Amino acid sequence: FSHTLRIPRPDAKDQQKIIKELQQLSKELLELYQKSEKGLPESTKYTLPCLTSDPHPPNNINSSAILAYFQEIRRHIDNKGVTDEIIGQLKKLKSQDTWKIKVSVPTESFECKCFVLTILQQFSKCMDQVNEPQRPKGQLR
Amino acid sequence: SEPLPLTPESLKVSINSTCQCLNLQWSVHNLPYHQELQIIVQIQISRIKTSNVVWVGNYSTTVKRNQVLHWSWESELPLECATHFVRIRSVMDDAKFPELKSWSKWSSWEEVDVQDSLGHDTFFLFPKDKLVEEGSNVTFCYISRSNQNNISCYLEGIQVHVEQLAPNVSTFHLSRVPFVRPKGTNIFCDVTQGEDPKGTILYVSKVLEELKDFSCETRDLKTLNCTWDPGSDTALEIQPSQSYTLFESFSQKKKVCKHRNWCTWQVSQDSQEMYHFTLMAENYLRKRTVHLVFKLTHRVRPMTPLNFFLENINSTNATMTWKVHPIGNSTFLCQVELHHDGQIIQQNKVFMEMNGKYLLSEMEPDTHYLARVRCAYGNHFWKWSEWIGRKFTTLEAAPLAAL
Amino acid sequence: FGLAVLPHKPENISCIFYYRCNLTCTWSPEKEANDTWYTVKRTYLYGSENDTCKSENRASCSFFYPNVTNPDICTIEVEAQNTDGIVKSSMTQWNLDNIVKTEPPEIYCVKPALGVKRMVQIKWRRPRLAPISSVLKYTLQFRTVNSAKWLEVNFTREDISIIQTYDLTGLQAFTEYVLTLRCAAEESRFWSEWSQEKTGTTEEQA
Repeated sequence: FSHTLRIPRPDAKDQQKIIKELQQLSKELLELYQKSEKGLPESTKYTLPCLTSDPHPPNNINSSAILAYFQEIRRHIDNKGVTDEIIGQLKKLKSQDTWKIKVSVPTESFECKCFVLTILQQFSKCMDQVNEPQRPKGQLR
Repeated sequence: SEPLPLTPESLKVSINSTCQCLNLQWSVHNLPYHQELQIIVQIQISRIKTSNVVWVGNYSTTVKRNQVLHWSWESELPLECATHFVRIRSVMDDAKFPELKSWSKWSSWEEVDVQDSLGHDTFFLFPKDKLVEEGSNVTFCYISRSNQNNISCYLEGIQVHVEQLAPNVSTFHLSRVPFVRPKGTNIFCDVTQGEDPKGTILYVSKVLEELKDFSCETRDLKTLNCTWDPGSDTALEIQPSQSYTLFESFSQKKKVCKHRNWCTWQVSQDSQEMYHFTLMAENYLRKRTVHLVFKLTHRVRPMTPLNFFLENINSTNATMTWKVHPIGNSTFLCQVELHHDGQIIQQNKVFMEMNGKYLLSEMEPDTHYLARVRCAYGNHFWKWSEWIGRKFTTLEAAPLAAL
Repeated sequence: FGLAVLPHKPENISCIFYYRCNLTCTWSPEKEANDTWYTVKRTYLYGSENDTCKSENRASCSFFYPNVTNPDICTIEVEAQNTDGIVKSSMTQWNLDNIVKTEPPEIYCVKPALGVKRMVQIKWRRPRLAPISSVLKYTLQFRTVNSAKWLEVNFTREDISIIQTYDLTGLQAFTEYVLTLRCAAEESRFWSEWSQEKTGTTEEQA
């Protein structure tokens, strides 16, 4: 590719917009998955790390951990469109210098479904938390 | 005389967990006669304790001296959930020895128990990720090693009725299971408060349907195009779509088809005339076959005619010309039609070889028409080709000569 | 020996982002004398990824969902090729929030507010395909049924709930009005199409 323009990472305003889009997408994907997999229980064994924020200003949000989870569970989700949209948005918030995080998905089919459901539920909660209005901008729990 | 010592010996029983099968293997050693004898073997299967016989059956077979016999039994209950006991005996059933009709002694009970090899978990649910056809009956069972008694189990989130089979083993039965989704039906049990439920997936496949409308035809005597109605796709997360294979008996050739509802077959150069095709559809659970026998030249459907032209158009006549793709040195039967305002006003059939020609007459001046033609194989009619045609307008009538 | 005729340099590149649908770019000239193949090179996700879109004899190309999400800054470069050679456009940069186009809103109810004279309340559905992350600006056009002169009022909505309302005041009493609505993301220069017209009548003057 002959491109020379250097595009800066999303600024704080765009980061907030990305999170708003992710909040909506997370609800949509969770709803789609729950509708397609009735009667699945949520698991307490798995925890999805929420978005983190770089310690030093401008406190860029970092999505590397969540992105790694979504890239692993993608093949277990039928709705590839919304999943790829989420992955695309998460890539925008990924800071360049984090190394690849290893995520192991249970190989046993029922466990795997519960794992995916749990990740989607926790992702939706994470997006709600990050989007809560009173939280000062850019500062995450 | 002394009854024949047909007591089965060296009975060995092994388990195939996936198919929930007990596989038996035994032999009958000291048969005095060096021939093949017809015998009946009676098999008894007990569960949990030898006195609790759950299945008895006879198995007819021939046996030779020191021959190892095999037999298999499918259990409706997952074999992990209970100890099973097997014993067998046999009796002569050979016309050569009508007088020898007494059963042998029973073999000793062979015990099969896999619970020890299950590992250290406190709860197990079986069968694991079983594949069945829609409409099947499936028995689930769980082994609970911790004395949890209020265990509840769910099918797609709806609680199911559980029955105790043994102190730490319970079962629940699903009748005529429906297809729910390619990723399988969710089944789990709530075991301990606050802990993750334990679950498994039941993969219910649609039933592989009978193959319908299987037909083959050729457009050029070089390639056969076979088509069929495949019915629903039986693909699941753990089962690929059904495969389709064409087998031709005379040439003994076989072809795995790439598409769900059509397949091509190269006509052999040795001018084979008769074809006997078997189309087989197959998935993990079932095979379907359908047959078709035909003479190649009885299945010729010519390609659409080409180079269609309308010449010498005047106020009442026009000449249609066209060509056909040659097939061997066959003649062709062609049907010509003339339409006006959507109505067929002329229809005729002509025989031709490579080049067709037809005179349209008695038409009205300055009028819009559609002329079209299609052709069929002259040696044996099978199907018409597609139509080819054109719209045209006849010329205005020439003015009457001055009186 | 023929004279080489390179394609024209693609210019006037214009892109529109249809939210959760596609990013469509067009350029000029629309037509070339000879067969011409276009390769549109795009970077997206703030320059971290790239892809291409190809078209033949057509000065338009689209990148499709889900590889088009906002907010984002894309670069677009168009390469025109015919049998005589290749010509590249200059590099262009696009902020998707500035070129997003949404579906029109759907007015589903226009009714007088009980006890409030010379006012109607308009209810509409926020377009499903409108960015969740954008404030939407609206233009409401209205006229009396027997007038040809449209009046209009502008307002914004940050709320993303599906059902939205607006109280249109300062109207004539006991008069039937025709209303239509359009919207756009706050930073975008592309408005949606106008909604279907709806009518409503103000309350009788007591």
